[in-house]
Amino acid sequence: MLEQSADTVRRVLLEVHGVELAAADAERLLALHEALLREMAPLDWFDCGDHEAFEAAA
Amino acid sequence: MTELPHWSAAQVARAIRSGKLSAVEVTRAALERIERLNSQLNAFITVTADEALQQARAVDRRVRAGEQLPLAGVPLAVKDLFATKGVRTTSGSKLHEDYVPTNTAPVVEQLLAAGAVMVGKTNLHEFAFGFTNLNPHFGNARNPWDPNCVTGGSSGGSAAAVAAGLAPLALGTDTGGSIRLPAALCGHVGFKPTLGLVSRRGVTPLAWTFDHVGPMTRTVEDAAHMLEIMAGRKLKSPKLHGLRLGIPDDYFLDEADPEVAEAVLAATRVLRTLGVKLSKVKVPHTEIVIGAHRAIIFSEAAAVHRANLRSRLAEYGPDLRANLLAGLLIPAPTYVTAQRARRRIIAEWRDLFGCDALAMPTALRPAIAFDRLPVIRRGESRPLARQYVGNTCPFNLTGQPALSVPCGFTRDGLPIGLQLVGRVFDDALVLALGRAYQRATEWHTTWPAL
Repeated sequence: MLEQSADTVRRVLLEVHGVELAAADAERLLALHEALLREMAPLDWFDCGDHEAFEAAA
Repeated sequence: MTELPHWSAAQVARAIRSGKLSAVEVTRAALERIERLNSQLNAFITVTADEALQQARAVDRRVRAGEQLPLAGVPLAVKDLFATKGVRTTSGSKLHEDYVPTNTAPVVEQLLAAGAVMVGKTNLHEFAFGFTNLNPHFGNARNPWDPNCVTGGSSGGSAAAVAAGLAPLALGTDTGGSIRLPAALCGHVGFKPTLGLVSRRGVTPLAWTFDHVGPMTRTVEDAAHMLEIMAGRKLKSPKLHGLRLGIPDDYFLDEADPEVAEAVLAATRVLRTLGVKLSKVKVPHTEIVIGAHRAIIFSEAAAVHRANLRSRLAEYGPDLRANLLAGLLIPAPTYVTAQRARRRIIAEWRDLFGCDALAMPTALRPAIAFDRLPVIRRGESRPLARQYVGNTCPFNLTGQPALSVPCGFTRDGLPIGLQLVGRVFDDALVLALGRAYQRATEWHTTWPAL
């Protein structure tokens, strides 16, 4: 996991997506990004329920 | 008899078909009311007065020629996300502020063909991505019940237009609650049909997995009628006696404002007097619905806008810019996992846990004042998102039909919405429930003082 900082977010956006973000916008984005990560966290351990089908196919 | 701006679409169309009123008279009255109230509510981005009067004259000619137009001369407000030939379609954005489409979205064409008269294009959250209808480019839509409060969004201008009697019919879109939330906060009816029932062609996309088009009206009867025209099929009204209505608690009710919870539970008791059987139900997997919805909507919206984010970033408002860039930062495996989780939720919620429909608050709290909107800070969650779209977005995940219908007011006079949800393609049942509820109550006959 990358360290969560405004600079990291700006670097990822520039290097991966070609988007240049002003420093003033980075803190707001970082706050939203972190809130979204918390909201999405339950997906990490959710059982999507199709392991058996997957194993059968394998 | 109530005054004309308070008539339902059905009443207006009947009066015009019978020759008691002309479409031109009704259109002029609507345009005058918009002229008087739009500066206060900011419901419309563009008012199409000349085009509306032309359409009204054409409707009058068709009526005189004997055509039985189901929406004869009914004023229609169209969210400015729907393409309209020759009329600029901004999507609430600076990027599209001068965009004039060369075609009209088929759903708009269907409504116009049925005799509706488009009076204008309504305000929205920029590119429909947000639930407050704050708009940095065209100004905020304001709630007719208290102009210091939000309308909810993203179809906030359509909601304000219907609530203020500027038009009895409006078109909205709903990707996480954007029809139902503003309908609830502004005290009228909003319906998100089953995914796929209504065409989305010619509508600027927000997130392909979730985007729905639907009606916003004062009465459920009008919403059903509008849906029939948009979907191109008749709805069969089912019998309600003995129908099983599930009331999910915990996730859907526990965090509700006490006045909201009380009004919604009172509404279910009204439905019980109509022969509906109530039961409590437990809904599984609610712990992941918000996460799954967020992963998909943010990722897909970022994909829609990716090219413009590179070249025209400064033209996006700060709220949307942050949302779209946050979407770029979501890992691809999270998006895929969210889609797989969605598939499991669809499978397990399909039968509504042995019920025919579910009832719950549309929003957990009433409209919030502009000066009380929270600012997101590092380390904090987004409670308003949970309160406003936590109960609506699950049904964008499942694609199930969901209706918001007025069910009361807070002590401060702000509207409260009851959400009724059905099985996929049981739209008629949901609308029949809502219609029966409106026949038994008078919430929808109360108007804001304007």
